[in-house]
Amino acid sequence: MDGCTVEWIEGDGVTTLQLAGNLDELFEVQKLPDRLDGPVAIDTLAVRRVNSVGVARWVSFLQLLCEKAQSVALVRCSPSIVLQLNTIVNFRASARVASVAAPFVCPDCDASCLIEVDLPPATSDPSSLIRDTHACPECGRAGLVFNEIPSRYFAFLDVEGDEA
Amino acid sequence: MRDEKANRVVVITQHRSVERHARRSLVSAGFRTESLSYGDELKPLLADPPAVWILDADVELPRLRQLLDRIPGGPLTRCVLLAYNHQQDVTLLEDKINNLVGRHGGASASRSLIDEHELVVTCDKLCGGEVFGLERYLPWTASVHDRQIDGTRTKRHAVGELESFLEEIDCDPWLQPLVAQVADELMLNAIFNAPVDRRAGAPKYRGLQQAGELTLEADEHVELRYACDGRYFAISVADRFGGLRRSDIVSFVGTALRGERRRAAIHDRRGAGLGLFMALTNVTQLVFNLAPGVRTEVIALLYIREGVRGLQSRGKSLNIFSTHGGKTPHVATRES
Repeated sequence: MDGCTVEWIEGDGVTTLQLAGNLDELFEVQKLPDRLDGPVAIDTLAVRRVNSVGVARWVSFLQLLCEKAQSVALVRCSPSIVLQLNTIVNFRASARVASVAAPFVCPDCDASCLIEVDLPPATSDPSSLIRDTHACPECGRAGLVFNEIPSRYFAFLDVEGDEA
Repeated sequence: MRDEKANRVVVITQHRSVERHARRSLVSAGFRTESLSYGDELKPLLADPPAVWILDADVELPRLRQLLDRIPGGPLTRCVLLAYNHQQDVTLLEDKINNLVGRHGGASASRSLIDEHELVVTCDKLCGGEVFGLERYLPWTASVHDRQIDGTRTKRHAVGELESFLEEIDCDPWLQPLVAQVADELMLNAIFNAPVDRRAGAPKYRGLQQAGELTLEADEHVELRYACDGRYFAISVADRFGGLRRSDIVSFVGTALRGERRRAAIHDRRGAGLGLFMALTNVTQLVFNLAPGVRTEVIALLYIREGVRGLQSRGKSLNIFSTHGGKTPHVATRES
């Protein structure tokens, strides 16, 4: 897929912005709705890849959105988005990271999958977020293993609050 | 076949295991290898220096600096810092050394694990062997894909093809976007930062990344090559200008090697910094082959055998090779 599709969805008092594709040079800084009354959630599960031009455009966009919206939360952050959170200091602007998609692997059949992990405010111990009790979606075996290093994958939690 | 003098390598280490490991790899590859400890008398060696000095990084920094200062030829002489841990002080890179060979096995490994092939290739390149080409880092069985890139549109198409190849070889799904991102960044860097207006002598497209699409002139095309041997995925991006300077590399990658985070440089007109920083964050080895004014090739190798976790726990290597008129100079110059 070339570029990134952006969809605004209203519901349950929350405006959800759903992104899918790549944050690259084709990502346009979106014109914001005239009114944004309630909180905004940005769902990035389907964001596959991010490049440096996309990072710059994303940060411009997110800063504008954070200024205008009551609150902004990043939800279901894809591994590519988590990588940027851990690499680029101001990637989330003043938004809160509410949940991420964490990569797991089956030690038996080597299948990979993503499992959503909620991040309660003031989470300090990354390993407590990961429970290796999920079953493999392909072979059904219990005990999927987190396919990352917890302290590294959740490193952005250490600096949450310092960045805004 | 290199002559005996050009083939002589000295390994300086406090660890017998490192010495054995390095000797086994280098002697097997035809190098005449000698070993010393950091406390040994250096005078005979200083009078008759080897072609390559290999220094174990597992020693106090002042001691290492002291030794580097005594090596004939001064800074940037052919020294390889072996089993380098990227948490260490990277200021050595700034003025002392061009070749940092990563310590693999992660910080918890009880002993240094060296990638033997990387060490041998690094020494061979420093001893006058062919510098350019990703083939040097992979076995002959790896089939190389080659694409000419004439702008941002073909770049995106090439990244799409690379992603299809990653899927075809069943690369870990969470590694796939990382590999593709590295290729994307290296090409963006070559497209926007390499071309020079030959008459004005100034960068032609630098700072235009945010403007969107760009089509290059015929003589500005970028070459993308990639291949995989099952252990490593190798990506090479080459331009025809040779404008990338050692000082640029040092400033871009220093923060990444230290594991620091970087602020998105939205208005950074130099452009290249953020992309190279993002690329280095994900790679196992990054190699810069510089032929000033002629050609620059950046090779990135990503360890893909053990998924994302394996890639993240692997050490990071950085190698800078300079050539003049196609031959590796005895003392690499520091372009400024």
